[in-house]
Amino acid sequence: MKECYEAFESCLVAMENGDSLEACLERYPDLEAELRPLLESAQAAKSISDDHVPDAAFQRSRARVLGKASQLRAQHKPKRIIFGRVPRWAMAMVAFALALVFFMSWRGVTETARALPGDPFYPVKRSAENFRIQIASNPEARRAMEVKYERQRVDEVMELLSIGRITQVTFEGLLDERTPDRWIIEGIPVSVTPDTQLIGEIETTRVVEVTGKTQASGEVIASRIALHSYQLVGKVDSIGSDMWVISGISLEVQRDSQIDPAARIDDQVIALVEVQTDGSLQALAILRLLQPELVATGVPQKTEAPSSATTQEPKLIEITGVVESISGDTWTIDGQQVTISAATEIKDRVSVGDHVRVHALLGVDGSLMAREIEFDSSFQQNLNENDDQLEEFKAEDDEGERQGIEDNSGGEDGTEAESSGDSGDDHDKNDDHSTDNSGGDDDTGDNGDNGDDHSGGGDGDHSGDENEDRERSDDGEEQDSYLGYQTQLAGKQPGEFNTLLFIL
Amino acid sequence: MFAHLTACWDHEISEDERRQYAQYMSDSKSELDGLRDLNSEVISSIHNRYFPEVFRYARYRLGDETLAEDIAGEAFTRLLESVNAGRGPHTNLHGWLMSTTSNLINDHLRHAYAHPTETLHEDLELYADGPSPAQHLEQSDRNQLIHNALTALTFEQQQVIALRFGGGYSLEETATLMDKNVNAIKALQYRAIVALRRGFGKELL
Repeated sequence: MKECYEAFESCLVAMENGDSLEACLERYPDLEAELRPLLESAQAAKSISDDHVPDAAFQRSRARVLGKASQLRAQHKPKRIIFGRVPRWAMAMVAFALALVFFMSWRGVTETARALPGDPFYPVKRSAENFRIQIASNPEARRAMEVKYERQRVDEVMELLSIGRITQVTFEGLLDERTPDRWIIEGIPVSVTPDTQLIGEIETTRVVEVTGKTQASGEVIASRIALHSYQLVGKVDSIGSDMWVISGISLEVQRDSQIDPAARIDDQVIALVEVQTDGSLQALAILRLLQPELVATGVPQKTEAPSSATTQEPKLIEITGVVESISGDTWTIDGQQVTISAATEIKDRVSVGDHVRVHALLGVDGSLMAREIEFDSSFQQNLNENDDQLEEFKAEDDEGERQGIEDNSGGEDGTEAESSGDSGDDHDKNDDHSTDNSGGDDDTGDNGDNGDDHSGGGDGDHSGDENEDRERSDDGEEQDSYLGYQTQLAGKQPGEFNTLLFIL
Repeated sequence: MFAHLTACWDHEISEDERRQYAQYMSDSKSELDGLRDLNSEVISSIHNRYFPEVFRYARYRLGDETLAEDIAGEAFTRLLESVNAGRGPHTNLHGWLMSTTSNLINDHLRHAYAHPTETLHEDLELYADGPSPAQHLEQSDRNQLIHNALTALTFEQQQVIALRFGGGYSLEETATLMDKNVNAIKALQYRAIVALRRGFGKELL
C-alpha cells in the first residue's frame, strides 16, 4: 500500500509540473488500473479550485475585521477618556512631577538617610521608616526597628542642636536628671516651661516622649512631655472587661493585653502601663505579685510564708499546695499543718493529692486556721495549658516556626486548636478554653475524643467540679483577653518569669 | 509556502531560500507584535495577506462564496478576540488562521448535517431526480457534484483534499497545517481520493 501512496504522490507532483496523466501512468504500469481513477479524481478535485477572490468580499471582510479591532480597542477606552479630558498643560505638569519624583527617588536614597527635621527629604525618610516597620516580618523585627528609629530621632535632635537649627522635633528617651526647669532626657537638655504639658507621673529613669522645638542655644523647649510607659504597683480595685482600676488609677485593657487570669479584686499586682497619645492609660500587662512562679511551673508553692513569727496579730493569708494528709481537724498541705474548724468552708470535695487554695488566719504563734478551702483552679488550668503549650511548642519546633505572643493571644486563627489537635493531647477540661478559640470547633470536638491524661490521680473524681469552678471564675469577655497571657505564661520557665518581672 | 523550508531544512537549500525563510519569520514576528497592540495597519496587512487563502479554502470546502466570506471573516474576528484575551498564535499566524477556519467549517458542516437546509435537499434532489447524469456534467452542476462528493468525506479527508488540490499546498505544507507528518498525509490523501472516487460514481468520470 505504501507503494501506492508513493506512486500516487509522485504522479501528482509530475502532473503539477506539467506531465500528462498518461505519461505518469507509464511509469507505474503495474499500478495503472489502480492509479488512473484516483488521478482522474484528483484532477476533478483540482478542477473546482478557483483562485479568484471577489473584491467585494475582500473589502467587506476587511471592514468587518478593522471594525472589530476598533471595538476591542474601545474596551480600553476609559484610560484614554481620563487622559483625554486632562488638558495638555496638566499632562505636562504630571510628567514633570513624575520626572522629579524619579530624580528624587534615586538621588534621595543617599539624601534621605542624612535628612534632619526641617529638610525637604525628611518626610520621605520618616515615611520610608514607617513603611519598613509596617512590613516587618514579625513583632520582634518590628520592635527592633522601632527601637532603632527611636534612637535615630535622638541622634537627629543632637545634630540639630549642634548646628543650631530651630525646628519642631519629637523623640523618646530616658529621663536622666530633673530639676524644676531643666530636664536631661537621653543626654539632651530639655527646658520645661509653665506652658509645657506634662502627662503621667514622670520620675527619673522613666521613658518619656518629648515634643518641642530645638533652639540655637543648644536645648529643646518642650511643649509636651508624656510618660511613655511605666510600672504601676497596687491593689486591684475593680475588674471590667475593658477597664481595670488599680490603686485608684483606671487602666484600659485591650484584647492583646497580657493579664494574669488568676488576678482578683484586692490582689496586689504590677501593671505595665502605656500612656496613650490622648493621655489615657493602657495596661499592656497585669501580673499578680508573688504568684507567677506558681502559674508558670504548676509546682504548688505558698504565696506567702505563713511562719512569719514577727507577725503580732492574726493575718489572713492564702496558701496553695497539695493535700498531703487529712487527719481529723488537721490537714497537711505542702508540709504545712492547717487546722479545720466548724467555721471552715470547704467548697469542694477535697481529698489527699488534690491541689488546693486555702484562705487561712495566720496566728501569732504561726498556726494556720483555715477559713476557706477550694480546689486550686488556676493550677489545674495552667497545668493543662502547660501541657498544651508544650505540645504546641513541639509542633512549632517541628515546623520550624515559632508563633509570637500575638498569634496566640486571640486564638482566632485557630493556632492553638490546630496544634492541640496535632498533639492528640487531652483537653476535656478546657472546653470553655477551646470554645474561645473561635474557628476551632472541629478541633474541640476532636479533643473531646482524646484520652484523660490529666484527669488521673487525685483529680479524676473532681474534674467536673473543676470545670464548674473554672466557668464561675472565667467570664467570657475576660477570658478572651486572658487567653493569650495564659498560654504565654503556661509555657514559661521560672527563670523566664523572673525576666518578665524584671522587665516590668 | 515556507513550511516546506522548515520541513526540508536538513536538505540542501539555496541561500535565497534561507533569506526568504528568515524574512518570513521576521515578518511573522513583527505581525504578531503589532497584532497584540491591535494596530490597525498591522491588522489590515494581515487581512490582506491571508484573507485570499482563507477565503479560497473555505469556498472550496463549502462550495458557497457567501458562506466562505462569513467563515473567513469569522476566523479573523476570532484571531483578534484571542489576541485581545492574551491567547492566539504565538509563532505561526498562518497555521493558526487555517486551523481556525477549518474548525469553523467543521462546526458549520456538523450543524448542517444535523439540520439539513433546503439547499442541501435541493442538491440531493437534483442528483436523485435529474433528467440525466450527462446534463449534470455541465460545468456548474459538475462542480456541485464534486462538492457534494467532497462533503461526504470525513473532515480530515475534506481538509487534506482542500489543502492539496483546492489550495495547492505541498505535501510538507499540508503536513504542517494539519499538524501531521508527511507520511501520514500521503496515506490520508490517498484514502481521501479513494473515497472521493467512490463518491463520484460512474456518472461523473
